[in-house]
Amino acid sequence: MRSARDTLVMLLAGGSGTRLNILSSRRAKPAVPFGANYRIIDFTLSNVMHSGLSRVGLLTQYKPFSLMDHVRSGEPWDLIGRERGIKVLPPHTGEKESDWYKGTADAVWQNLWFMEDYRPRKVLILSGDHIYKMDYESMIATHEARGADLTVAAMEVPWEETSRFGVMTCDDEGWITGFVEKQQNAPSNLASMGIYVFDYKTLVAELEAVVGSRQGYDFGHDVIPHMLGRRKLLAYPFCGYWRDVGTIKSYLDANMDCLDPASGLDLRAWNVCTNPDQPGLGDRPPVRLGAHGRVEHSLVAAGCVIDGEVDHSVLFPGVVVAAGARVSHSIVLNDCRIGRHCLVTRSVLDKEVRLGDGSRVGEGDAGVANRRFPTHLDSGITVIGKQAVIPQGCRIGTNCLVFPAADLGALGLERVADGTTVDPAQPEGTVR
Amino acid sequence: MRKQIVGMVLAGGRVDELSVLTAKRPKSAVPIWGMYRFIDFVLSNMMHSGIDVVGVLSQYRPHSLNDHLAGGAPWDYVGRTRELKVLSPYMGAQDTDWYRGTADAIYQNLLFVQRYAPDLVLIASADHVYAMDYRPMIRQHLATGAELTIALKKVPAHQAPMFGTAVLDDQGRVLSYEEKARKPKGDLASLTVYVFNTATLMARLEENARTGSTYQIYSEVIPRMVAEGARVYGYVFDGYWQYARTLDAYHATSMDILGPNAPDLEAWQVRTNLTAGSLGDPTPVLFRPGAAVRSSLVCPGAWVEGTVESSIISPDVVIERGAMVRNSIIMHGCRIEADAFLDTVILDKLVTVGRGAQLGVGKVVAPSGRADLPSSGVTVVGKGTTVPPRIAIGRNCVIYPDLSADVFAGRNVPSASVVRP
Repeated sequence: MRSARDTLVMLLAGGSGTRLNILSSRRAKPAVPFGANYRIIDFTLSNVMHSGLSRVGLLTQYKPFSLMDHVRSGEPWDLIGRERGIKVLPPHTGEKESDWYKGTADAVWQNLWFMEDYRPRKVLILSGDHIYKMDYESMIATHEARGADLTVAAMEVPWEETSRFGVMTCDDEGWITGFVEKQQNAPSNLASMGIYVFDYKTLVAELEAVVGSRQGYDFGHDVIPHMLGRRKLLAYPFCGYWRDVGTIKSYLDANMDCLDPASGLDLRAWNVCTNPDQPGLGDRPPVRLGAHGRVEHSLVAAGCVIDGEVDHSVLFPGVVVAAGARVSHSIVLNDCRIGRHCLVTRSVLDKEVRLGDGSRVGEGDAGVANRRFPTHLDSGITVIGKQAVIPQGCRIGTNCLVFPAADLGALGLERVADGTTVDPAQPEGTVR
Repeated sequence: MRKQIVGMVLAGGRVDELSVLTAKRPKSAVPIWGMYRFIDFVLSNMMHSGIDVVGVLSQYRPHSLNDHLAGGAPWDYVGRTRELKVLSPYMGAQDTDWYRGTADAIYQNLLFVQRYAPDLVLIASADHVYAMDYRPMIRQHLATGAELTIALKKVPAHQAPMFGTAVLDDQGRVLSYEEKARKPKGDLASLTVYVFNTATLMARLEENARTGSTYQIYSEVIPRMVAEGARVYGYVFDGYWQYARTLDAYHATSMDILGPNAPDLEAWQVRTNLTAGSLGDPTPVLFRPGAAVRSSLVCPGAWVEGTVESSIISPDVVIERGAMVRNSIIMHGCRIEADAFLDTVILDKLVTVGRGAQLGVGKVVAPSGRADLPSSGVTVVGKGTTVPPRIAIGRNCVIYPDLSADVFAGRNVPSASVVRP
């Protein structure tokens, strides 16, 4: 185990995940449900636990309530005890320099007081946004053995995706010689995973120089480029499964990876821990399969009752699929009710959606992007918001977005064409 | 701190008829309906009834029970004013020894009760499956001015000899009480749920400790109170309640959860310890390509590639491709390898069934004169045993725990037989 005096963890969990649209409209991205039982942050917290780290500062900002309910005092990840703990660090006022977090580096800088309580030798900086399994202990040991000031976890990404990442160039021994953040025509395809091991004194000095002087507020954009050529920056290569589930498409795909350990995402082997008492998960009865039930190639959480057919899908706790219904290539969140003879395909249903008998969701021409959110919904996936009500026989096409709590029956909608957004506050075709 | 009522849970009994299922655990710790154990029901009932101090009396091999109870946290018994305490036999005081019976067990732990100076003590067995709100029973107890109130349920006449039975007058007062009588006068069976006035309980247990012979509440304390004209009342309960005393009854009770009149586990709000015995958390159920599961209950952590019908699949069970499981109960962590076949089988935890093995095949043969074997056709395999590939095991068999594959020496096991080390 590494004590707080040795390595302190600062976990950035404030991201809003804008491109996840209504899935993250009321919860921070790390709190977005994933893999039938989990939330995205469980993967990072489980890595922290399995790597033997003992003290975590959790930096929150955007809509933190689901996240705080979920993390509680850290006991699901064994982060409770005399030498262990997790502390929520929200933005605060009342001190000099304090304000909303303006970036990743600013968030850490504003919590210098927390780090000073422990005066660690090293700080591990993580984000709660990614699905992966990594042994941080091995990264920290490499950082120590090589005598680096900063070690950055790095993995090769497809060249066409390099503009989404901070990208680095290295010499033969792995020392970083160049670093550019989110640029077209990147010089390399070795991307930063946003995982940093800093020598503590280096971290404080560099944050003071960059953030303290208001030059910049972000690690990738400002702090690392500032350190280039002056400090010893090491790349730590990683080649396992790692996904930034930042878009609806990548969210659906990564959930589907849970269905086949050959994808590299193996929930069993990874031993991912979650808060079993979180609202909606605790004390659910086992999955019940009815006489007509047929479930194949799917991940199903406790409390589901299935009398219909389910394939290539992820079902969260308490989902009911009535006889004659078919759910395929979809993600269905907690306590959705899918009526008799419904069809759900290539769709994401947020919590407590009601589908009346015979309704059909996700059928149509995948080529018609959503008109209001063309960059969010263009791969054919339809998203239905929390507690939406879809009446009997209603048909909803592809790339559609139904806002939370929208009642299509009350709105008199029997058919929602491909690429349409149903937002009761802003009906399609009207301009505000 | 004073409490109006304290709960005492009788959790130490083995129940020999359950054979290999209670080889290393008391009945109260036997798994049921996939992810529960028997004791979850009484503890959930107490929690939902607002009884927030509970003593659990354990004696027979308590370790798996203690792990499961985990200080009471799963039932919300951790807090300044709430407590769940495991009351094991102890040495050092004058009258202490192994518990000689249920009355003796409570007598030896009266200090625990007295700490809370309750008006009432609710004593309940942990061996039964039922959802009951104890509050109406407690209200009736107070309204009638009873010294003791016994929960009763009407049972078919042919089952009555298996239970303690009572006859009530029209005010609900117990006129007579018999324990496992051959021809009982009444058909109201005792559920082993008692509400005692604390003063009555203490006086009666002291008397029993001096003069008793079996030291049992049901066979000595209650009959004597009724005979002496004490104010003993019955509270009639008409919900689902099962004892599952034998292997055949355990199989039947298990299958109730799959039937058309299955108890609604969600509505019952039965709580269990979700994490005992496993380092991590169970994953959701993974249904692999080729899985075909119907009319079944499947728990988190299961991995299914084969066919499952009318069965209960507990956490962390693996059912490989081509395997077929029917009318069976598969407990935690079992592995059923490819092309195995199981019909009407109970596998205790951590059993491995080798490739192509067949369990529960052939005709049902009555186990003539063998009380230790099931008779309904169910075959039971004890915890941790490995069944070798491709052998066949008949019906009404009992296979002992912790057997390695070579014990079978590649031979088939005929119906109505026992395999032991």
